[in-house]
Amino acid sequence: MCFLTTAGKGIILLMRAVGLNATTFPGKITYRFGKHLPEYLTSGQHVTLITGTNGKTTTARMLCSVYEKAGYKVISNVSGANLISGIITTLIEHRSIYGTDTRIVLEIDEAAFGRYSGVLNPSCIAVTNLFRDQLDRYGELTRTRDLIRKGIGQAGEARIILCADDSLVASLFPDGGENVTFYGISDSGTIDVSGAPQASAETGNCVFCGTMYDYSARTYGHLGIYGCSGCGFTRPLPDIGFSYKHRGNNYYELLLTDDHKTNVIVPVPGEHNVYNAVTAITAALVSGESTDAAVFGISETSAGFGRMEKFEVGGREVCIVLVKNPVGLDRALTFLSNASDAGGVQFILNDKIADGTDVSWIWDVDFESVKIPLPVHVSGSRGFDIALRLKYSGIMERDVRVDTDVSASFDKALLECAKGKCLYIFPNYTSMLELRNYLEKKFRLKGIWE
Amino acid sequence: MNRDKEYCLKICHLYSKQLNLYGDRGNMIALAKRCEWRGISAQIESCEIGESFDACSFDIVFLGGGQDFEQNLIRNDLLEVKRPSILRGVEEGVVFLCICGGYQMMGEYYIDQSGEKIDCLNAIPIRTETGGERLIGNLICTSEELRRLGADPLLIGFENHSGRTFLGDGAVPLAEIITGSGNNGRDTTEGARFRNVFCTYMHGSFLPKNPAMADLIITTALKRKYPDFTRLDDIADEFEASAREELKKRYKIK
Repeated sequence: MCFLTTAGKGIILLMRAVGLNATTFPGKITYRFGKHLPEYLTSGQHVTLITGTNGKTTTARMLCSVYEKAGYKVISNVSGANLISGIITTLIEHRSIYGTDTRIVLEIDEAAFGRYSGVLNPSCIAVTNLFRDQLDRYGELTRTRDLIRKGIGQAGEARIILCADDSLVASLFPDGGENVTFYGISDSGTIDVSGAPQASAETGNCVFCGTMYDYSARTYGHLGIYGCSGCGFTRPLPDIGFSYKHRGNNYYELLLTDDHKTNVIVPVPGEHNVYNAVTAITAALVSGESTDAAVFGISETSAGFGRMEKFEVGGREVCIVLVKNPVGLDRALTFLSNASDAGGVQFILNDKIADGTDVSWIWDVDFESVKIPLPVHVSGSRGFDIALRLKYSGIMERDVRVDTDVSASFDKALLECAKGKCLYIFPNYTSMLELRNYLEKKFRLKGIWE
Repeated sequence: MNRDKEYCLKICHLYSKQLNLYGDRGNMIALAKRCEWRGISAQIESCEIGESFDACSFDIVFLGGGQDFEQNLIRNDLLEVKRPSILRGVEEGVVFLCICGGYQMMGEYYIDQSGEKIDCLNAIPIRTETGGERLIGNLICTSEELRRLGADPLLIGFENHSGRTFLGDGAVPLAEIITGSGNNGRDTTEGARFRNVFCTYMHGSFLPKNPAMADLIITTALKRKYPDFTRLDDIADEFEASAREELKKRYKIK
């Protein structure tokens, strides 16, 4: 095992030396020769696994920030390589800093979690949420839930952190359990309960008996305080309760309630990021951190590349928001319609395997109810599909500029964005990587984004 | 189209809350918009679990697909409450668009993984059995009916189903496959036509991406309701054409 680790590290260094992106290959090749490698690399370490359909990367970044501010050495697959190959690569690369003051924070794909959670020796497992995502890969949302259930079943004594407000996630442990910690909004919160569900929200039928849930509060998607009059399944009472208030520039102030009374500004916009922050805080709390320590790092988190981070080029700001499923794009469009600085928009849609080859989900997104600054630029291998979606939402064809070449489309969009304003870009996964490569080359931004 | 006349279509989305899988909603948006762009009023209503249903009071009825969880939720209501009305509607020539799970449920029966035979609506002569691997991917096929009408015959969509469907006497395929699996991955047929029922495994952006088929469905409904109706005004479908071109290029289809 020791030899494989050394060999793996050698491969990483060699690949880097010749300019290759060594995020998954070294892990893939060493795992082929040593199936016990994951166990070997994680045994005796404090490992947190973060899974769920949306928010894995941001939650992991937030938890890393919490641990860094608390003085730990942190190892994490921040590059977003969240299959077993990427995880092994990360662990091999940073093995030299292993120690008692080390924290390992890994985001992990739902299917990979179902398969490998046992051998990754987790001390803590956090499940963010379950939204429709890449059904061409997973088939059914309940199947994704069952993969996560399988993963949790292999994880021994790990502390399990679940979003109580997500009925599908909560259905993993409807009655809680010794190792289970729920987080969710407090009844006494300041949250507007009037919001109607968007088309992308899940059905609202009880996962156990099929009766329609009654909601006393809704936050976004199918999340909220729900109860079933048919079988009595209700939202578990949260161990970590919270509420939030809207602050300027679309930021939220998070207020922890009950035993952990405190507040913190979540420096990444959007209600979904309030949930991500609470997931990270809860993971730190159950791992023994104090409330102050668990909250401190949150306000210091920077957005990851493509996670609403803003940067300046040519007198304009650019804000990239990765969107890969209906709830994600609905959140992004709500964010856009609240942004006072929007000077232009670009949508990029690819249909490679890593994106999901089925792009039908864009029809579940509520383009009709948001105001999109015109003209709008679209690109990607399925650029015309998104153009078509915009046309059927009521935007004139002449106001939609299509160029399937990502970089050419970006150049035009940036040029048409007024100086001093912000160009908002919504790519899916592989198109985001394409855009990043282009931006790194064009503006010599390499190394800024980890 | 007679410009002095006011045309109106009533469209019903059956179980809009449960059967809305991955973009099915796009088909309703396409029907509504393509009517609106021609000055035809389109009223979309939904009919949910427990609500009474009169198919003959609508011009077009849409029955989409769902995940197994949602399909199981509506099954009893569909078979016990809505069924008589659906059978009468099909008999009287109401236009139906049925996709994926909705297509399967219109048939005689479905044999599930455990070999159990599940009764379906028996509204059209087709039957489905579950079988092995899911059939997932882009699906491209040609519609003889569209070709006869002088329209672009190519249908382009995405399929994701484990059921294998076979057509019985009286049902004809909606299209012949060029690439993809279609009804069962064996006999090169895709979807079904029976009276004014249109069935397909192509979900999501089926009608937006296939404007000729959307217009055929609208025309069929208008002709039934307004016997003097002849044909729809042409509209520019530039983005539709380009989106189709992208897939045609990829699969080297002329």
